[in-house]
Amino acid sequence: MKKNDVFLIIIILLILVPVSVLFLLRETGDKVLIKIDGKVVDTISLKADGQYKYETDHGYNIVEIKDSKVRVIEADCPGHDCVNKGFIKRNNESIICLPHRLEVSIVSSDEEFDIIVQ
Amino acid sequence: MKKNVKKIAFLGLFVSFALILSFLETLIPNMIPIPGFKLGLANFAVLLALYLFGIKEAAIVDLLRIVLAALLFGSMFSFLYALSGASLAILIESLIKKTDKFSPVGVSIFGAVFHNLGQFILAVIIMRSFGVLYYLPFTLVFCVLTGFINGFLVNLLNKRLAKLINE
Ligand SMILES: [Zn+2]
Repeated sequence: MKKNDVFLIIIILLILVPVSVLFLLRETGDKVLIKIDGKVVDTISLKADGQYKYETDHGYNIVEIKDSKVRVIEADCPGHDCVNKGFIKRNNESIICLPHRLEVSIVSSDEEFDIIVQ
Repeated sequence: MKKNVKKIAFLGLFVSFALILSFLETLIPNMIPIPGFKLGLANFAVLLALYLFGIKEAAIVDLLRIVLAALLFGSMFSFLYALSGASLAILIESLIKKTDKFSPVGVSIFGAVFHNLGQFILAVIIMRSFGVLYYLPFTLVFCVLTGFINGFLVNLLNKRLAKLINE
């Protein structure tokens, strides 16, 4: 290894470790935001337990909210990465279904207010 | 043995080795909801090809691995993702290697970082949303780790294999 390799590793870790810790320490959110093709199609309270189906030309995803957590419980996309991701609950966490261009993300009510103001 | 025959034999070996590593990666549960998202273990064989032969040979190994992996245990999506990450990684690795300022460890880490960035950029474009970037810091931490291991192994094997090929 050269000196430059060591510098590179130290710089990357100095940036990444604090950012990752900050992300992990985020508080749980209270709103679920559903986006398809980059557009918000639905906002649901994280307290509103139930299953919600979203169907487009790309296919369908069924989103389940339960005990203040949200997941994609069923989808007809290849690979089922969105289903395998499991539950999320923290602010700004998201589940992506790339083949269906669907994004399930969690925001706090304040953030949603900002979106409306914009 | 003729040098050319040796080279082809080694490249074939690298492709099959890269394919095995790609398959092993599919067995690791995917924490990141991007189809085809990979830690980059297979890059070890590609990096070795880059050091022993050159960018052309490394690109051939990588392309063959990606096509075969997509056919055997992937999809069209995983193919596109692998391709976007891999082409960016090979380009950067070859550029960094040329500067001669880094050992294979540094070159490998640069490759891993850009492999990731390529995949995330494509995901942002397809989703028309930046939500997926939430996962960037975590995945970069893991990829720097695999990049380090890959580079370390290439460092170990590079000179010994070069002697074997040039004998
Ligand atoms: Zn999906």
